[in-house]
Amino acid sequence: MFGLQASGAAASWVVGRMGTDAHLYDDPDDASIPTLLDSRFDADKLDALKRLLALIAQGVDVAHLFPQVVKNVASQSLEVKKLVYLYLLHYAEKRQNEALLSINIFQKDLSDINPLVRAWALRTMAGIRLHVVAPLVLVAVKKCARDPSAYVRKCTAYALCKLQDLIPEETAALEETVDVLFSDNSPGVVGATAVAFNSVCPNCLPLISKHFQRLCETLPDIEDWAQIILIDIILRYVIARHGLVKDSSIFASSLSLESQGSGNSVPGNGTCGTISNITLLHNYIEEYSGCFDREGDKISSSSMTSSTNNDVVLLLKCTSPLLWSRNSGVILAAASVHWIMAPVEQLKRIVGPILFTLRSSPDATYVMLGNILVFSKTDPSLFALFYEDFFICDSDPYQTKALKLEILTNIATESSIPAIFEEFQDYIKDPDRRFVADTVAAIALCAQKLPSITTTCLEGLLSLVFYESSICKSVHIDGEDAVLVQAILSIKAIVKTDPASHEKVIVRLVRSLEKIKEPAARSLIIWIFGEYSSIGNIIPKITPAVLKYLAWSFTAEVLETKLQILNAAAKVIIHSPEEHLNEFKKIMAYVIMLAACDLNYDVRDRARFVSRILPHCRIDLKGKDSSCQSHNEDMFKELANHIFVGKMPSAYQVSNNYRIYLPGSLSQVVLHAAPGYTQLPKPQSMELIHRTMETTIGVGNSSESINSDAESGSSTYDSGSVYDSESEGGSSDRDAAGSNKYSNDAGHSFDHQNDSLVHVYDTSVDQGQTARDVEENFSSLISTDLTELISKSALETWLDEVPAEPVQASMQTSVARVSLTNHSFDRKPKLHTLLDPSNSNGLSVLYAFSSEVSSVSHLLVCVDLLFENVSTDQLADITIKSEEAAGSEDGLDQTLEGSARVPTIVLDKEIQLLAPQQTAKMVLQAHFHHHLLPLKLTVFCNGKKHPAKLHPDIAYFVQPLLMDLNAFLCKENQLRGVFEYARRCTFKDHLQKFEHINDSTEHTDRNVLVAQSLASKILSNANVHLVSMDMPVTFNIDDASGLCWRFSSEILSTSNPCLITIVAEGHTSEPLDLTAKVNSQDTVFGLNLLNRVVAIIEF
Amino acid sequence: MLQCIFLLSDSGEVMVEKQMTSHRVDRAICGWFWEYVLAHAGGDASKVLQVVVSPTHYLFQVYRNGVTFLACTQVEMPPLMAIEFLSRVADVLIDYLGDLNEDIIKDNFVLVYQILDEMMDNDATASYVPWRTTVVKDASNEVYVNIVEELDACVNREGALVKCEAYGKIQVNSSLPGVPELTLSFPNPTIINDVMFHPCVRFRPWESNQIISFVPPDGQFDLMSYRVKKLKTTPIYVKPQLTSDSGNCRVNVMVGIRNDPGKPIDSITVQFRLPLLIASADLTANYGTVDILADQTCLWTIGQIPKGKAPSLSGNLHLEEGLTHLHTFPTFQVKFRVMGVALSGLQVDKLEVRNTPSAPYKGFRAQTKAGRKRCTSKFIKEHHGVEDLPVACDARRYDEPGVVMARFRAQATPPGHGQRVRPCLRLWQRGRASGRARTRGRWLRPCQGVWLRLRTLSPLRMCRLRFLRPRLRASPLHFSTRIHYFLCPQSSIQCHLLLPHHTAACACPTRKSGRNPPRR
Repeated sequence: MFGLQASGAAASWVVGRMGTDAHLYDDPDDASIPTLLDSRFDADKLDALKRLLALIAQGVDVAHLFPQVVKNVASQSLEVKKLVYLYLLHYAEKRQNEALLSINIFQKDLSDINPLVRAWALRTMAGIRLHVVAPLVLVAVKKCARDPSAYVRKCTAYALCKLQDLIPEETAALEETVDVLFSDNSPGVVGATAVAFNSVCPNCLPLISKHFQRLCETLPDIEDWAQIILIDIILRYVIARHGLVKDSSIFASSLSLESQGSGNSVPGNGTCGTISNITLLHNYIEEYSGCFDREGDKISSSSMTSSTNNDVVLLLKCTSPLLWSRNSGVILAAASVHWIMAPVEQLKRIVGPILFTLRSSPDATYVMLGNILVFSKTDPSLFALFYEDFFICDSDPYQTKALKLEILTNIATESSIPAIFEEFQDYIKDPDRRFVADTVAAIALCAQKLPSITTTCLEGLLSLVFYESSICKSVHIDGEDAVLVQAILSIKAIVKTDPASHEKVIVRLVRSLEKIKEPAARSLIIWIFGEYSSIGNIIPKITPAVLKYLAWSFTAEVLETKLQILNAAAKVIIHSPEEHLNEFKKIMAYVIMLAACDLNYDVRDRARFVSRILPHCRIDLKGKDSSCQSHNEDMFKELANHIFVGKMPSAYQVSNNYRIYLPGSLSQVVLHAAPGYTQLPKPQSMELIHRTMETTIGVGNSSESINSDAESGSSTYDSGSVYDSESEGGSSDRDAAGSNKYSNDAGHSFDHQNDSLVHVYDTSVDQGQTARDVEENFSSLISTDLTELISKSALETWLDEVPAEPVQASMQTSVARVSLTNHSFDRKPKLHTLLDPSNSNGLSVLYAFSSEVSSVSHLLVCVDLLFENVSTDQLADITIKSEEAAGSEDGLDQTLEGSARVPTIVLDKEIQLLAPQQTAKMVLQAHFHHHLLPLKLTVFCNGKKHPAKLHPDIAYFVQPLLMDLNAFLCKENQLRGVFEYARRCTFKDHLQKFEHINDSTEHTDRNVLVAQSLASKILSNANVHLVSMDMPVTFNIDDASGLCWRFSSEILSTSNPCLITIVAEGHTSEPLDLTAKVNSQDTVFGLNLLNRVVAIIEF
Repeated sequence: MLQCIFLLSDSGEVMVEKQMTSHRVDRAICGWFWEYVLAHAGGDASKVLQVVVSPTHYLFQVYRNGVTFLACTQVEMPPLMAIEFLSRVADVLIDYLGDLNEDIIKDNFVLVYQILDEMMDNDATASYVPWRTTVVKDASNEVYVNIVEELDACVNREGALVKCEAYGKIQVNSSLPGVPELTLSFPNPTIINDVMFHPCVRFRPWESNQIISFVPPDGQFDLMSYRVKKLKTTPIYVKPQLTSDSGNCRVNVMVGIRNDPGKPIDSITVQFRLPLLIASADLTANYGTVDILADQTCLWTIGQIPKGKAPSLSGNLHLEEGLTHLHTFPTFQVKFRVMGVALSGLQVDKLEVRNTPSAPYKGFRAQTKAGRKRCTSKFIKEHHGVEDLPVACDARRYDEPGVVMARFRAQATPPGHGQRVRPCLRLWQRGRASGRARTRGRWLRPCQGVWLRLRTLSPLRMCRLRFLRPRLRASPLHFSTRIHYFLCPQSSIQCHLLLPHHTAACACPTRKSGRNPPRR
């Protein structure tokens, strides 16, 4: 959505006036803004506009000045224009009706000679977001997509994004423009188009296929914002088309992990939260289950390696230099491509650039680290050598420090851990206690991962515990104990991996109970003591003493410690050897007694519970025999074992469910799927299209690169990839025809017979084409003198009149004109259904627009209604009424002004009676409020109401305007520029007709036939006057290029002339490419009429 | 895609609001954001993460010079794109406005609006070379190359060097007509670990030959940045000692030169945050000044290390009641500058200019940049080195009101092609050379020196020194060389090396007013 380099020239014109606007910002209201806006001087206007901007910046609503501002849009001063545009963009949506006033100026600006003005006009038009204007913008966009200025084309691409937002239903038309712009020469335009593609049709990956190679080549030259988006698009395309790469890191990483993990397999290895490749794939790719085995190691559908597939090679090749970009976003996008598609040995190259961004773009650090974390979890070896880069900076925010710690923990290896520990020791002295606690936790994770350092870690942690406990005594600040608690937690985690070998640590920890006063820390140590009281050789020896100590200190403890003492005592008893049992029982009984009298009911509860569940204690406590419950004893024992000894589920198993998102995405940073997040497409989901493509690519590759932009632009997207081969053949064919046309006769035949280049053409086209060529050759031999054929005298013998108008001169082809009057065509008006008999008790109503002109009002359109009774009963009292009050519609349609005075419908009669099978005719004059919206009618019949909709046909909102060719061309010249719209379409009707005609008899009639069939089609569907039909005179009979029809008409409501021109291109034996053009002063009407004409031609 | 951009002042006030899409973002989001800043970072927006999730929007923020650039979106988009965009906006604004703060934004809000508008929607001249306007008018036919390096070093408690790397930028200021082709090469490119290029640099030549080939944009830009890792030593050492005992902590910090780079080291400062739980501090230094700043930071400004004296800072920190020992140790940050040396050892071999309509112009300019804080475990050293000029000179500046006196020495081996240089001092005011105020020295052979004295009546803004060198016929470059030194009060020396145009009208590289005014 955004470009870059305002440092370029475009903004530099403002630089001269710097630092002068402070008073405007501080006190924008100190002058009368409306007066200034109405001033004749640009300087005053400028001043007023600046004040308005200042008010907008301060959050004041200044929309009420909209009309006064809008009229300044016509100002000649670029500076004023620019500021007005800024204002317009801000308020247009709020003040739609007033904003419409500016449209004509934009239209005019669109044909300005200054590309900057054109671009601004287009940008603002697209930006003001009015639905009414959207069709106009669409036309403007199509036109500007072929603008000579690259800057304008680029703005066109950005306008597409806005249009998509505004008229999502027009996606097809927008896609077409995207396609055209993708083949642009200028990298800037291509980049902007990538942005447009992403918002217009992000899933339309087949569209990419024909541009893929060029996109890759252009990639380094486009703007960095667009690079980020384009990289993503081509990555998705390659995956959708070719699938994933077998030797890529995400498949191989599990292997390296295993080999690394197996060497030092530790039970707690999973605690580091390493991510397996399966999880990664599962998270990256949609419909993952469809493509992969459950095992994940083998991919059933992809056997591709990165070196065997050309597209993958190209993808990697074009993205790897981008790792040197100055934009960290581009670097990350390029790195993601490598992460997903590159073979393992190439993956190393992403490491340096990624790490460099941590230094060079400090703002990107946090996001970058989040992504590195995922990389490092999957493939720790990648970053293992670069641990220095993750050393903490003093100025880092806390979250960044935490991320770096986590990464350091992930990538620590036997060789790097000494250096990392040195660092950790410094971090422990950091003033930020929270960070110190995190460091302590990280130490534990490292120790669990690398058993060789366990002892060192424990030593360090123990001394930290002692040190911290000594501090805690003297100072009491909130959170001060966090480090101590975390240190003990870390010790606990390390000890858990192998309690027996760490018993000395436990002993030392337990002995420090004297010194440690922190309740949380104490309870933790007591838990450790209880848990491991029976392990090893030394601990059991000190157990009685410790237990006594705990019992002695019980009353002085806080709640959580008391609970832990009870637990620990219970555990000791369960594990205790026989010789100490009695002693322990006594202590236990004492503790329970104390607890039973505790003030806190939690403690009393726990005491009761413990005494119940440990039968031998209960004896002592209650002092009476409990032999009656002896049979329960076993059960209690088992219960106690289960409760106190049972293995705890690993807390880290949860981490496997933690979701991963695509690298570089917002979701990866916020750790939830942001709206609009899409996974990678399913591998090889584009396969079908891909198959049909394959042949084209092989054959057409060379000629495709030679063909100019215009060539590829002419093939519409709809025909797309499948059509590619067709257009390929077509274009070369056309080239051949073109050369035929201009070369002289001898040269031409010589070419065809001797020149090897021409033979290449012949072989490249299909069989039918060669046959046609033979025919061409034949005809060229017959027509011995081409110049004679083109000469005037020859033409005059064949045609009624001589072409003599200036327009034709520029076309450089000989054209003949066929004069056919309107009457020579049979008009077959189309019947539409107004009322279906199934819904209306057997009354069928059909309607057709008639060419009659209403005598009542020029706003009325005549419609012939055809009633038929298809039921067996009589129908009576048939009449029609309008459902809408006249002129109730809002003023959306400016063309129908004064509509309030005209009745909505006028009927010439009513039908009293309609017998079965009887038909009747009626003329309805209707006043449509809009060219496109249907008129709601009610048909009354037998006293019943039947709702019906009368759909307007814009082609009958005009009446024939009789004029001759010179008048037509004269008028057309007046209506150039803004008033001219063109669209391309194809015409196929003539092909069916040809099937009925034996073409060997009269091949000269082909063009005439085409001309006639199109003219009759238009005339039977639109109320227009055929001015002329121009036929091309080429000696290639088949060539219909240059065939031209002209129709004239007059808009009923406004009496504005409306001229239609249709020009053909191509061969009569194929669907013809037509360009329809409408010239009309009434822009919205003209546009809609054009759409209608195209619809008539195509269907 | 981004929906809206806000510029917030230091106090959370919305200065500029720029909506991009129809889905308007209410200003209330800024209020929410500022609450968040207050709650999570104590009102310091620079400490807030770049990506913040609010209940209604995803926010991206970049903080520069007291101005917060805030962008909102509701849908997925590459976060780095937003962040890079905001920082680019900030850079462009700084480029246009010279600096950035609340007042400057308000003074130029129309300009800010227009820049935002153009950058957000699209811009750039879509010429063949997108970063360069096709027609560069009134180019003065000069190009300056400028290497600035920063040294990041970490020294741990034992005094061992944990990490030491140089982060460098090659800045180019080009003012060349037409579409010039420049090639820059290094004699020792292999020492470079990581690189990052301006879009104008072609990737191929670098990939194959480690040569930088580019068509420069007009004006100043960063051609490349690079990193040289695993350096062995830092030029100065800092030895802090903290011993705490019975509620008292004795501090002693020594600073000295470890490894003489051969050029004077100046602007040395040592900075550390006083630990919490300090009742009072009593610190003095035998050289330089010691300040305790508001945020409990002790700043010791040394400047240059004097000869025959080792600067040291010593004193007592009195701990709070009940505390006998200090259990957190502060990090010491050291900043200093070395002129004329690139500690990474990177050198520029040559700069070739092709495809200019007239005789090609080129030059080098070295400039010293202010420091930036860097990381540490125990203390940090920072260094900003300046690459030696190909034509190197040694210059000292002495000034008194209205008088400039400078002593110049030709280097032992003046690089380039001539044996002799002749300094020529000329006063420049408001970007123009004043006619009479100039002096010219005699021709200097290597190691010879000369004093030049220049008297002016008006307050001295800037003067420029130019070195004349004899024309060399045998030289492959075939033109004479002049060096320009900018001299201005309280500043280091900036050098220009010009290889002038054949007209010899050696225009000063005046800049468009307002864009990067030569400021100190």
